[in-house]
Amino acid sequence: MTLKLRATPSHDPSGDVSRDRIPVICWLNGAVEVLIPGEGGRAHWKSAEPANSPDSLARAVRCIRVELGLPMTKAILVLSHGNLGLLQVETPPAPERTLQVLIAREVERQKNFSGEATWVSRPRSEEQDGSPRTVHFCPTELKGELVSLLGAIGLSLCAIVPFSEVLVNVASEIGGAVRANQLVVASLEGVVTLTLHDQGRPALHRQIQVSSSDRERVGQEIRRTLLFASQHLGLDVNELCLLGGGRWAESVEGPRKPEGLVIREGSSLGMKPWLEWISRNGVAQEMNLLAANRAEVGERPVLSPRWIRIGGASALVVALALAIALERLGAVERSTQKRLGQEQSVWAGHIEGARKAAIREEQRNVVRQKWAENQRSTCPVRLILVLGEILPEPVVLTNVQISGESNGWRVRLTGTARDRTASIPGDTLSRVNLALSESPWGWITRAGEGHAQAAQVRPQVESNWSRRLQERATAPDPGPWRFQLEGVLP
Amino acid sequence: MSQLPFLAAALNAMRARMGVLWPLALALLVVMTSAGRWVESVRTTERITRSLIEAEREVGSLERTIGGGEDRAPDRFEQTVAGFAAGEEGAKALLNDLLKLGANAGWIMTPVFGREESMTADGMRIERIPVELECVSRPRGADDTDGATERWIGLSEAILEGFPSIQIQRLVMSGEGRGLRKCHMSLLFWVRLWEP
Repeated sequence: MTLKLRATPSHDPSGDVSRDRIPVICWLNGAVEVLIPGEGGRAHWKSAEPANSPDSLARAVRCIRVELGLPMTKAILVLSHGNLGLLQVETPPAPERTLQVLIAREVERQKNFSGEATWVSRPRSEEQDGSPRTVHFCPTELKGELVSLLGAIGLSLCAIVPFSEVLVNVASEIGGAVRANQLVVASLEGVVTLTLHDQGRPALHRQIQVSSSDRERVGQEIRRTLLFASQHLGLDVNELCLLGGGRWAESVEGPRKPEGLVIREGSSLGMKPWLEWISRNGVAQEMNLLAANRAEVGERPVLSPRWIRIGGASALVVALALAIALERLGAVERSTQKRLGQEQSVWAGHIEGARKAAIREEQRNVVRQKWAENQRSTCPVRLILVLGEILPEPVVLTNVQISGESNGWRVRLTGTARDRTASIPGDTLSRVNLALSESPWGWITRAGEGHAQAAQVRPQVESNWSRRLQERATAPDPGPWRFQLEGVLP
Repeated sequence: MSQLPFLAAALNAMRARMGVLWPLALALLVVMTSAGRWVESVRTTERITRSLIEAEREVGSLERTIGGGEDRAPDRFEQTVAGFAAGEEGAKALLNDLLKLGANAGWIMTPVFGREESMTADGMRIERIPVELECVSRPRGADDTDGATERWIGLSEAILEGFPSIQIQRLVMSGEGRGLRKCHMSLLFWVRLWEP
């Protein structure tokens, strides 16, 4: 696209233009104007052909720079675009972070374009808490495109200011000190702007593509704006300021004019004084969409979805890596379990075998023990033979009892005199004891001797026969001599 | 593969519910699942290791018990059992031999069997049968009263030495002098019966 530049300097263009002041580029409805402030005056250029895209804007600016031969490196861009928006957001008394979240949601809800939005806000009134906020927003993609395209030609943007904000402030200044609820209507470059003020602060801005000479249409829009302010914003406008209108007041006057509405009229405005006002005032710093972008990154309490997605994806990658590592550890554990399981089955076999062996050994011990309880020597059998040789001639054995005990054999021998009538020497038993003690059979623990008593007749019922038998009875027979030996043999 | 639709539906539901936070939720889910599986594996390994240690300890204890028993009486059991009467037929043969021995020695013997006691070891059933044996010396002529004691001693010695599967518990003899003609013996027969 070829641009025909028409330089219309307000002063000598070759004059001393200050490089310290930041130039202002205004892009409105395809028209591109540049104002370069200087100490001795201001230079103002306007492109002859419209620029309808950011790309053509960049080319126009580059042509202006080439024509002027100025090393313009910084600029403020005043922008009007179909996707720029202005909102009045009712906000409750809340911390700034909460308000940011509320405004972000409202912008997301109100915007009529796809993609992310960049926004800036300020309180509509002096009160900071609980007052409605004026919010400007634009597509983040458009902002980035402007910055990158102008940056490609070596121009660094200091600020991107919505044109509606400029209009609001310029209209307020031209309309005088505003203390009441005022509606300012101004015409500029084929558009008519309607700016509503609430106690001196901008509350609503409308921009209509209509010729300033279309009186009926302008009057209709003024009435619609007044009605909207009354019904939706709760503002009763008491002053109407008409700037540069072609007999607009006539379309408002009449029976439908709101009661108590004061109409003031002013002269038409050009672009140039507005740009001068921008370079003179600090509006660019207050509602700067570029600054909003920086503030958005550093101060927004909630991370942008993009960063959340990046963080989530990173966390997912880390989690997958961690999961893989844990699965590998788990696989190692499972192989260890498999090996230990094999050892466990081997040990189970060992335990089973050992238990069986223990039971077998216990059964063997039972048999051994019961066998050993009655396993004894043959000593007592031979003892009887020995006794036959040791006992004196007049003595004989009459009873032998041999019973097994835990510590050997218990032996009890009973004997008597061979001849009951023969006399037994008194030391017979002593000699037997002595003989046994001198032999290997010294086993006697107790020995006794005496006479067995004969039975006596003791009738239970006294009768003649029993009395006669008792009378005949002689002295009792002392009985035969007897002895007994007891002892324990191994 | 059959679980893929379910997983896709679950993922979509998670995305719809969690919004942009779904990767974080999924990451947390993945990590928690893997960590849970790993912790479970570690616990299982610990449990198996602990049971192995206990098994080793139990086997050691049992082997010490068995080893101690063998130290006390090495192969004494086999020697003992080898002398037992083998089976029911062996027990009958043993009794017949005993009665024959007594008859040859001049004794009339009457056995009375008591209640047997069973034990099990080395895959065989071992029975201990109490036998009460009444013995009366058969007279050898009118004045043959002498010599009964010697014959009885010979019988007892023969039982103790020639019948290793018979144990004498009690002996009671009565009579007079060398004519202890009556004898009561309490014996134990040991029999080994193999289990089928």
